[in-house]
Amino acid sequence: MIYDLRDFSKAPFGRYKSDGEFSGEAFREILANKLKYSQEHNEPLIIKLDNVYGLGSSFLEESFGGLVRKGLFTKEELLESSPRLLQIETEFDFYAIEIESYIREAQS
Amino acid sequence: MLIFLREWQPLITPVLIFVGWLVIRKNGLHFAKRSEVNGIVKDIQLTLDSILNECKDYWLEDDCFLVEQSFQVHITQKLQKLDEKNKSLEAYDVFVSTDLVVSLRKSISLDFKNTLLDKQNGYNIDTKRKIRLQKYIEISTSVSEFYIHLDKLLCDINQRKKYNIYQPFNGFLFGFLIFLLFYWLS
Repeated sequence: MIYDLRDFSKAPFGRYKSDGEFSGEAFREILANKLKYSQEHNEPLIIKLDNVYGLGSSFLEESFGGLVRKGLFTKEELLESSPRLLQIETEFDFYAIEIESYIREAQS
Repeated sequence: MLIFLREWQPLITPVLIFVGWLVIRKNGLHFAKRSEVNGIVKDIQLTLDSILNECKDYWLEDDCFLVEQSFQVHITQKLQKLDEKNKSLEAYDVFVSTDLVVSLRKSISLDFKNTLLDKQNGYNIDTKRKIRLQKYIEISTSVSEFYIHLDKLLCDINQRKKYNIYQPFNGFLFGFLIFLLFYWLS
């Protein structure tokens, strides 16, 4: 399944819902539902990141790192399953590396 | 050897001219490549400077928290430009670590803002200013690390061993051998 972040918002911003409507916390809820669906169907969830204006590190940490921190998924489920459950599609490699580091550093 | 050289002189002269042309061409390509790499690195440095300036304007202005989303859009656009430039360098076998961009992004995070705005912390204005200055220093350190990495890369490029024909001693030796060859032929 492919999900374009642009479908969530053209300008995602902030960590918590108190920062705005399109925060990392709000996106994490959508992300968790999509991941559950993909997991049940044993298919990867491909997130496209390139079509939005600005992607802050706090947004990425809360949405992706938060999945592990809140106990919704484990690092192994997200990154080490076969096929890999969470896949990032972006022209800029640093986003993918950064997201992976947030997931690995997150403590559940 | 001398007789052989004299016999083959009509052929050796054009060969020498061709070799000379090859050396000059390789020399030209080497310097062109070096100046292109230097140009791209200069662009990266300018982008890093503008990122740092943007951060300075953001963190050290008194009303800094009013413009956070536009700040984030500007910074993201600049970091993406930085990534594009890094990729341009790969065409010249120069690899800038992506981890540096990730580390820079993490230091630029606006997360810190929440700590400052949280009234429960009870920070007074002076403490807040100190904390913001600390944040700016953290970003500045991250930019410096990037600069150091670039300087090391440039140093490596400008002194690559495979081009050591252009090192003073080797150049002298090469010229001397050509001179000897011409001397024997004449």
